[in-house]
Amino acid sequence: MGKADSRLDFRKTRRRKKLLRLAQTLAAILVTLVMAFPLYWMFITSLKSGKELIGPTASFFPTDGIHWENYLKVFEQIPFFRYLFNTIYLTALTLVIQMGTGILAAYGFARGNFPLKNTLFILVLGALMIPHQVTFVPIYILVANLGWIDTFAGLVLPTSVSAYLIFMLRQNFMSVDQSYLDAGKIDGLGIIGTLRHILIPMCRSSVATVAFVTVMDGWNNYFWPKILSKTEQTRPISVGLVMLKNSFEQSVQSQNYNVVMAAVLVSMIPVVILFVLNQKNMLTGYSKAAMK
Amino acid sequence: MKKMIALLLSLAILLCLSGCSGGTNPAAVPASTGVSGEGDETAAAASSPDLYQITEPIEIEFWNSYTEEAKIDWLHDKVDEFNASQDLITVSIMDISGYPAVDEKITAAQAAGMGLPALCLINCPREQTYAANGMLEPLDDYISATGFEIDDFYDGMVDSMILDSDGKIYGIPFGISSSVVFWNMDLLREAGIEEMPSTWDEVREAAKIIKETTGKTTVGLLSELNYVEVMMRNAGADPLGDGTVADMQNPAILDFLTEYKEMIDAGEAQFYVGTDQNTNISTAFYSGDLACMINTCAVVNQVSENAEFEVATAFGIKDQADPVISCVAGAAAIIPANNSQEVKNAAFQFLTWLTNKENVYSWSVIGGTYPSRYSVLEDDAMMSELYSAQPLYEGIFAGLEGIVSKNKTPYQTAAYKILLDAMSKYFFDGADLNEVWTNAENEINYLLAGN
Amino acid sequence: MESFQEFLCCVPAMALILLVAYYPIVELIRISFTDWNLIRPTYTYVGLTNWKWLFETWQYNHVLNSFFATLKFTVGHMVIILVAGLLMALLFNRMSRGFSFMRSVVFLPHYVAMTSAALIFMVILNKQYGVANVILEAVAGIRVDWLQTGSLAMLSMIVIASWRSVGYDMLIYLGGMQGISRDYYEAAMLDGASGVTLFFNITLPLLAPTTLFLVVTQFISSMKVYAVADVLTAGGPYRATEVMVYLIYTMAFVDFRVDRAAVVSICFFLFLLVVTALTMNVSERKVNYDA
Repeated sequence: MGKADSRLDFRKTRRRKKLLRLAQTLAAILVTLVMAFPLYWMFITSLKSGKELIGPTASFFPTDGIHWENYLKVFEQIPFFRYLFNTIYLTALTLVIQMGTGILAAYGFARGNFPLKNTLFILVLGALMIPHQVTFVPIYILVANLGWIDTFAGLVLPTSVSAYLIFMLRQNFMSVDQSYLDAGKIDGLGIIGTLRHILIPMCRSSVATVAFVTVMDGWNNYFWPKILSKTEQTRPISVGLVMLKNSFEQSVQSQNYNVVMAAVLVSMIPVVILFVLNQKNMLTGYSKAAMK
Repeated sequence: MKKMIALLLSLAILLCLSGCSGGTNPAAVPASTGVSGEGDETAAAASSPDLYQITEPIEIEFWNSYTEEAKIDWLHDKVDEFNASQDLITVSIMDISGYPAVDEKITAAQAAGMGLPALCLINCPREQTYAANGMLEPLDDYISATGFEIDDFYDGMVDSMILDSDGKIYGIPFGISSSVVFWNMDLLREAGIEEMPSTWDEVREAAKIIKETTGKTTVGLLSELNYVEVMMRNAGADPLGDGTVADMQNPAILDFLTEYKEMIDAGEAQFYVGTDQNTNISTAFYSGDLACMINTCAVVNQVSENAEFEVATAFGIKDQADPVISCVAGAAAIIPANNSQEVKNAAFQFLTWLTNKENVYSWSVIGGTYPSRYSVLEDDAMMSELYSAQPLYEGIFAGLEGIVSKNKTPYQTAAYKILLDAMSKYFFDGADLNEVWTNAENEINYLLAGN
Repeated sequence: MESFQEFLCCVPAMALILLVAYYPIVELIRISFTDWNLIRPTYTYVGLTNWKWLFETWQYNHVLNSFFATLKFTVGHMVIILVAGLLMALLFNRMSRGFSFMRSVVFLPHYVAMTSAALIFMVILNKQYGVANVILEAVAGIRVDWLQTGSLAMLSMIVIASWRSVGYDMLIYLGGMQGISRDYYEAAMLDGASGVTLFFNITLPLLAPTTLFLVVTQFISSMKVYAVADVLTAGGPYRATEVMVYLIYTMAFVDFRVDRAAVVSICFFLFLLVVTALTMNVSERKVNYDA
């Protein structure tokens, strides 16, 4: 193997590497397009006319004109603003209560030293293994007996505490060096002060991640509102969308999937906005979780 | 080890605490006396009109389960009219979209023991279930005490509101609809058929011709209790028998099934299943791909709006049964039992007003439902007005004498779920009829026996 | 008490946890011994009747069918997202802005609500008007009923759920891959190992903890599926997609048999506990390389 040959090999491998990189890029683009396709289809369908929807072909671009008025129809067909308000209110309420109870408890378990602390924490962990899909029947009965069906209080109750949140934040709080907290005590900070000025800022990214997850879950929550909300007074968008689709079925009009898709898209906008804003935080948070 | 003991101890404490409550639903109210057929003494005493009068102002809640704007508007207008016409009762109306939503809400209220409406519109099949479980107020005493014109209501419709076990009426027919038949006359003529087929044999013949000449499907049937019960009973037998033992192996039913499957396989008929079935059958019919749509008469206004061809209607397809029957469906007005007597009185008074002759007539005009009073159908002026507003009614009302109650077992909904599943399996999955049908029958019998 | 204030901090959360997680379990056990019908005003204790019903009528009560349907969904879903997630992690493993953007697009479906995703796919999979059948017909000449054929309905459910979750697995795998020290790769490459060998002998084994994490969490969360079965197929066709949670829901709120729903809930819960315990056990033993 002379010098000339090795240079040839080098150029060959470089070319092969370039081809591989190109192939990788192309494949990645293809996969991305496939994954994005349903969202594209949703958007396109929302602009089609009713006639085109029931026609024989499904084209990739509206052929019967672009019907932006479908979006207006959404607001006519269902009390969309009310649903939007309900969703925002519920999500905010859940966020405040979950974070409130969770942060306090995480602090208590992380820095406290009271009898039965470990037992109680095991109970918290145990709750992680009790999914709401198992407990929903008695909780429904409980909420019914409290007279809280179809109220915001009733809807928030089942998700008012998150064992996952407590677990995650406790880890983070425990990792903060005691000296910071002692310094805080010297400055006269109580528990709330310690949390506000020391612990939360130092664990900012985890807190943000956890808050973000809470907001997403609250926004997309379908299960509890389906059982516990009965009228549009408390119904959030997730259930409202399904009712929109079903209402066409039940009143036996011709299906207006275009309006349904428009509603779905509108309901997704806040989610996408939050996502874009939080992109950086999100990714670091998740990969930390993997490296146990 | 210590941790485990502490855990078990706390669980044990929890168990004791919750086990201490008694054997009744804490929010329960003693079962209403009307359900158990208590002696005639109560009946005689309760017929006194005074017990059912309203003497003080009262506010009551009325739940409406319709989703169509026209119907909702009509109800709101009527509520306003009633409130303005007298000073004691104020009705507030709540719109709950769809029968399933109403079912959920009313059962939630029942379970909690609070929040029940005074008057509610529910889906007819549910009425038997609720009545059998003691949720509804029997109306016989109210009827006799206030002189409610119950005889003016169609026998078949009223019969469907009666619980056989005690013979009492638990609801008033409000917006009754039933399975009817819509034909695409243009498609028929295209295939060379001039007249609408009226018997099942004629339909089968027409289906063959239509398939040959135009390639289109003829019969569209929905996988729903209302329509399948009608088809089978017209074919000669009720699959649920007398409601306690199924009659599914009746040859009339088996023949019907095999015939229908042949038609499906030949592309002459279709059985619509799934959460989209109503949409699919209507789009098929409106786009001219289906010659005959078996659907509820409540869509009659939508049909005239959406069909760009001539439509003819019939009450049903004549087979073995004579006259052609169709089963009561649609909305019944019921009064929940777990309310105070004043609330129930007020509800009944409102109900009486809501179902007077004028209102029954104007409701059928916009509702696509049957006028539930004989007096409306015998009023020529009203009828001609109705027919000119919606000509498709003529074909349907011609057969109205055949309106009968559905099978009254409270388990009808659950039983039909099993039955329809078995039908789907047979039609689409290539399953053996005997096998799926016998399995279904066993399960249904188990259900009907009250398990 | 020492740390009394910290104890107080824990009280609200603990009270809620006891109420919302543990009390229901105890209630379920209690209800399973009654004959409670949700719309009847009273109920009585009937001992083991409902437990007998569970075992004696196994042919009619659809519990077994529901269990297997849930299992089918879970296994199908997990296989797809684990394999696809890993492949995508390999594919998208580049630090450029373009790739970062593509990764976030792939992850975006995670934020689409499950019900919204189900609605979108109902349009795509519609037998007569859906684009899936249009494409299928162009490619294979046939049209199928995605939502009304048992096996295809289950497949559709799996596809929708996978579309939503694969991005998550991809990110987790990427995180895991970043955690693998370069030393391993360098040492192997010095020995002359090539790409494929590197993958199977280093990457994959060292990703085992990540894989296990995903298997455990995704298995449990897949078993709890409900929303997609409710919106897409309503448990049909003929109960092919009637998953456990859907069955419990139907029994409690449609048939009003809360007593039986309680029995099924308890069984479901026990199953999940057993699975969690088993996987925890396995993970203790099998997966630690660096520890």
